[in-house]
This record gives sequence, structure tokens and C-alpha cells, in this order.
Amino acid sequence: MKTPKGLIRNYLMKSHYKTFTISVLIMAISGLSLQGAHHLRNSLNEGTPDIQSTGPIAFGPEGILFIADPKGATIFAVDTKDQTASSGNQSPINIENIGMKTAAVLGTSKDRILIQDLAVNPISGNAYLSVSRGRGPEGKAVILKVGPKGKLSIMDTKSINFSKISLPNAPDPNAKGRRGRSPRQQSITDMAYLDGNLIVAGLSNEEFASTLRSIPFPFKTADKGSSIEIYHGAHGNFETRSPVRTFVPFDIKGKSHIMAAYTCTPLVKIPVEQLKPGKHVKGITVAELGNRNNPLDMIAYKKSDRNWLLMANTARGIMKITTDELSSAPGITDRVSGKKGVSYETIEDWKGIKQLDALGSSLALVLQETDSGSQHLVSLPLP
Amino acid sequence: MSRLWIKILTPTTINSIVVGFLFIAPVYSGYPDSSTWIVLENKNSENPVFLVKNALEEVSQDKTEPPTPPENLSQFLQIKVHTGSELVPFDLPSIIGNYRMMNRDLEFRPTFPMERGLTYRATFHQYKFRKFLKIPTDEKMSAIVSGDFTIPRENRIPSTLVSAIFPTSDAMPENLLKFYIHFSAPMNRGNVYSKIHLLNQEGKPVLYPFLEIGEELWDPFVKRLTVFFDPGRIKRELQPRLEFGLPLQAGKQFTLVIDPDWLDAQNLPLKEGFKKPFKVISSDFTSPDPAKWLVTPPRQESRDPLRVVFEEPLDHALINRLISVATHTGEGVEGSLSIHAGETLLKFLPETHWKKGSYKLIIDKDLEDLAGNSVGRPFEVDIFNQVEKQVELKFMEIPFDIR
Repeated sequence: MKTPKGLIRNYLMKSHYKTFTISVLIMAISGLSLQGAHHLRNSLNEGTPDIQSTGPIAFGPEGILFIADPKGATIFAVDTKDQTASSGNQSPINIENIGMKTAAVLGTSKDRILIQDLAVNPISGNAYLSVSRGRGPEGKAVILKVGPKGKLSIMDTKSINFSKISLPNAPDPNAKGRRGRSPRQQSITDMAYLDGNLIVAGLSNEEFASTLRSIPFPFKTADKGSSIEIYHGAHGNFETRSPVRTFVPFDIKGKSHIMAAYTCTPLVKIPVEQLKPGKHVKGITVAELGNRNNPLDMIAYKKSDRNWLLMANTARGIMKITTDELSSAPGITDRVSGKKGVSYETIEDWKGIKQLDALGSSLALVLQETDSGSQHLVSLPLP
Repeated sequence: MSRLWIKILTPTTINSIVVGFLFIAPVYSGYPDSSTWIVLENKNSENPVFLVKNALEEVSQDKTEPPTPPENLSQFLQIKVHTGSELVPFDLPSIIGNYRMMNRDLEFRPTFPMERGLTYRATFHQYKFRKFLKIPTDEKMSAIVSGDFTIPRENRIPSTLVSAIFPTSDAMPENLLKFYIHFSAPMNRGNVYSKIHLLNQEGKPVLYPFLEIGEELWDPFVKRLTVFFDPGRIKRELQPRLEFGLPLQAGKQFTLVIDPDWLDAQNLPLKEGFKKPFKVISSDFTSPDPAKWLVTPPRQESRDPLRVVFEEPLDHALINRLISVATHTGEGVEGSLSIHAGETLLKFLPETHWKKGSYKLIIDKDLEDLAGNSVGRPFEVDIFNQVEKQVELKFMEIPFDIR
């Protein structure tokens, strides 16, 4: 049986947030009242969020779920009220044909839904899927909750506590006098809560811009956070603006970093203190990935007293990356010196992983797609 | 209200649905006089309703008031989707919605509208329901009342087309960054990259040329898809490019192919596929330079278009969004843009006649050429041989006069 201390450490290593205070966690684990510790939940107000589309989702503290709405260019924070701590070891969640079953619950067929993202509530161990019912422009946003016994239910968004922040879209100087809405849309590729900020990575469907936005939470209308341009330098020679595909907060020697994978594949570390507006932020390349390794999703976890990163990508298999050298790695800046960066191994058995999140301290919950297109929700022991 | 069909299930039909039903209760066939049946009302609307008619009917014969129904009515009536095309798992969940008793009828309102072309099987466990409510049951009563309801597909023929692919030029730089694929009607999202192929001069597919991201870069109307080339294959010195090379090679012919079986938002395939052959020219590492543009102002009191000729083809979507016309005091001139000649010619047609005076073309420096070099910054900056311009302002202006 795991000690609370061990659990706390593992929870702190979770993928999507790290600022869960130890005191809150201890209370959650021991089932004590959380009264008085809900300062973030208290910032939410009752109402019905107008979520137009579903993109990535991520958990913050206190069971708060962040939902990205790319069509509405808005991020919602909703109180799931899913605060009952899982007792003992986390139960695995395994649902065959999750695509077909999700479609069945929504009264449709699997070719008419899209599962956009997966997030596990670290308090309860329940999984949440961000789903679009319908694949056309009228697709409806649905958040599906998956219990440990595989029970599927829809998160009712009527009269819930929530807050939202609209993302400033690129100004359209021609909007005036031109009919219709701009076809520009900012896709949100990943987000994570870290130390009072929601960090959001986006990719435009027009310019190859790279913006990482750091938005203070609780949301304030007046402060939509700062947009930070992220660059990538290939071996010290060529520098490009490089959109971040996926990232995970990570502590390196007590300093907050994000470990990020660019769309152009290199894995970099970026000190969070650098994420300031107007700063020329260039990630420090710690590993270079080969072709077909377009990153999809990433988590951090601890096993055998060592920290690891696990990254799903478009190639077959999943990458397990050591982090021991992260603090000392100066970064790959010079191809001639032959530096290879941090080491990683590819776990070939994990095939077709589209999404992943940590499920308790020893499992990963993955959305796996087979060659035939069937999707399954599978709990796998962390490698 | 229309009664679609009623079926008293025989053991054989039950077997064919779900084996588990056999264990619920004894099943009796040959009870043709059942007064309980299922109907579907408002089937084509946003608010369809399943009704188990007379779920409590027979009670009325010996009781004045029917018994109070249980709160959890979902255990007695389930509606499941049957696609008919594949094996349905034994544990396929029911569709979600709200249950309630309406007098003697059991009502189910699905949360979402029903879909055309799908069959919904409603199963009412009447034996279980009556047992639960301690209503007398007839020995010959069927355990289950069931009905299949299909919302027919509209009789439509495929009509959606690829209406344009940008860049329209037939010569692309080796480091081309993206295509825009425009459709004549909204499309289905999901698995788009399997429908797009890049063929080399020999007609063989180029492997993994594009950035495949699950979010898929559609516009809000799902009528335009942006397809980026894998930036790891374009940026110099990166592992993917070193291993596999550029997806396009100068001096060679390539063809972008769109499969006809790509489904539109009505779940119909395209009317036909699309092929865009093009030749590849050398890489472009330099930023567009508005100082080299040729601006031809129209005459005053005319409604002729302002013509701007670029020194190289520019990004179609960004021209539309990032170039505008204003008076010299900065007041926007309303009008419409059109883009011609392989994205090298812009025509701006004002809404009203041109007045004599000074104007300016305003260019956002994020405007890119076909290789992602923006006015403010090349796609790749050579750090040892800095060619990046020092850009302080976000906009550039080109003044012109209307005489």
C-alpha cells in the first residue's frame, strides 16, 4: 500500500498541474473537509457556459476542469464537483470500443463523433473525454465522464459553477466592410495549469505563428495573459518561430519549467520564469526526434525514484524519456560536437496512442486507436 | 401521432438481438393482444419523444390510481443505436435522455436529436416493470415490447466539391509551407490526412509530408482546411529533414491528390476527387518586400479597383486578412479584396467612389509568402548571417494618391 507521502509525491508529478498544495492533497486523501481550501472554486459563478466546441481539456486544482473552445476562442473553467478522493490503489479504467460506446450514449454512430482529448481528475481518478457530437460545423460540445467501472455519463453543464476567458484572436483589420466571419481560427493544442496560471499552446490555421499564452487563474476579464513568442534554434544556426504541440510542467532542481515538444519535433525545456511578454523565448533543445515522431501528448511521472517523461507521437510506439540529465544538459546547439541530448527508448508495444494522462501513480490511461479505426480506453502500467 | 410498428418478441428474435435478454425473464410469444406499444413522436425534430403507450394501462381495470412509478425508469426502457453495419458490443450503452411517466405512458426524451440513416431500437421491459410495481402479470405476457425506428436518409446525391486549392500557382518553392483546401460545402472533420496525398514525378506517394495534428486546422465553417508541411522536414538541420529530405524537390513535378471518398458534413462523399499538378522551383528564404510592390491607383470619382502587384506570390488567406486600405489619416476605406494571377495581384474595390486625396495601403508584417517568410521575419533566420530586419512596428504602410 502506498503511503500518503508517496501518493503526494506522485500526484505532484502528474501531468497537468503541480500546484496542488500538499495540505489540500492530504485533506483530500484522508477524506477531511475541504472547507476553506476552495479559493479557486469560489472564484467560479453559477450559470450555463456557452461552449461552442470542444478542444483540449486539463484539470487544475480542486476538481476544476479547463475546457478549450477553439470555435468560441474561449477557455472555460468549470467546477466538476468531482472531489471524492479515490481510496487505495487507483482502479484501472478499461473500455473497449470507447468510440462506439460514446457515440451510443450520444445517440449516434462512431463515425459522427470525435474524441478530442482525455484528462484524468487526479483527485477522484475519474476520466473525462472532450467529445464533439457531429463532425461538421454544427458539432455539439460534450464532456463525457468515465467512472472506474466504465460508467459513461455526460457532464451536465446547466447551472454549474464556471468562469471563462475569451482569447484575443488576431485583429482583423478588414473585418469592417467585409461580410462574414474571418476564417482564421486558433487551434489550442495543449494547456496546463501551473502556479496560478493556465498555460495555453496554440496554432493558427493561417500564419505559422507560435504563441504560448500564460493566463492568470482565477480568470480576470482585464487580464487575458500575455502572448509569448517561442522560437527554436536548430543547432545554433537557424532560428524559427516554432509552435508548441504539447507540453508538461516539470520541476528541474526546484525551478519550474515546461518540457515542450515543437510541431517540428525537438523536445525542449523552457524555464517558466522566461515566459514573459516581449521576451525572445527560445526553448533549449534536449532531444531531437526523428521523422514521423510528430508529438501528440506528453505526461511526466515518477517510477523507482526517477522522473520520466512519456510522449505519444505519430510514429508507432511511445517514447520514454529520462530526465536525469535535464538539469545539466546544456542543450543541443552544435551538431558537430555530436551531442545526442537526453536518452529515450521507444516502447513498441504501445501502439496507436492518441491521448494519454496519468491515472494514479502507477498507471497511464490512454486513448488507443487500432488500424481498423476502433478506439479503446486502456489503463497501462507506467513503463 | 403515428404508430410505427409494434413487435411482440419471440425467443428467436430476442436471440438475434442480445443474448442477455434471455436471462431477464421467461419470454412468451403469441400474445397478440398486447395493449402496450412504443411510438416515436417528432422524429425529425430537435425534440423527438419515445412513448411506451399504456405502460400502466391494465392497472386501471382494478385500481383507480396507478402505482407510483420508480424514480429510475431507465432500467425498464432502453433506446439503443443500431448501425446495422458492424457487430454491436453486448454492453453497448443506451442513449441518454430524460424519462418520466405521462399519465399511463412512459416517456423518454433523448438529449440529442436523432440521426438520419440510423436505426434506434426501443426495448420496454414490461414484465419487469409490472413485477416491480406489483401489477398483476399475465402468464402469456411478453417480457419485452420492442420497436425499431429509422429516420430515413434524405435522398441526396453527392454535390460537394473541392472548390479551390491555394496556392493556385503551378510553381511552388521547394520549402512551400502550406496548402489551403477549399470546399464548396461544410465537411466532416476527422482522419483528413488519409484523404490527402502528395505524389512525386513518378506518381508514387511522398511519405508523411504533412504535419498531422488531431485538431485539424479547419476554419470555423469547416469549409477550408489548412495543411502545413511537416516543419521538421522543411527546417534546415533538423533530424526529420536529415533523415528523409524535403518533401518537395526543385526541378521536379508533384501532384496533390484529394480522394473522392472524403465525406462532407452530410456524410456524403465528394462529387469527385481533385488533382493539382505543380512544378517545384528553388527554395525561398527571403521575406516579401512591400517596397517592391507596384501600386496603381485609380482615378478620382471612379469605382475602379486599386491594383497592387506583389513581387512574388503571397499567402492567399493572409492577403485577405492582413492588407487593408485607409485614408492618410488612418480611417479605413470600406471595400472588397479580390486576389488574382497566382496570388500576385490584389484588386481592392471600394464601396463608394474614390475621392481625391492621399491614401495608404496598410500591411501587417505577419503577411507571409508561400514559404512562410513574413514581411517582418523570414521563416528561418540564419543567426550567423542575420538577415532579419529590425522590426519595431507591426504594420508597414505604402502611401498613394488618388488624383
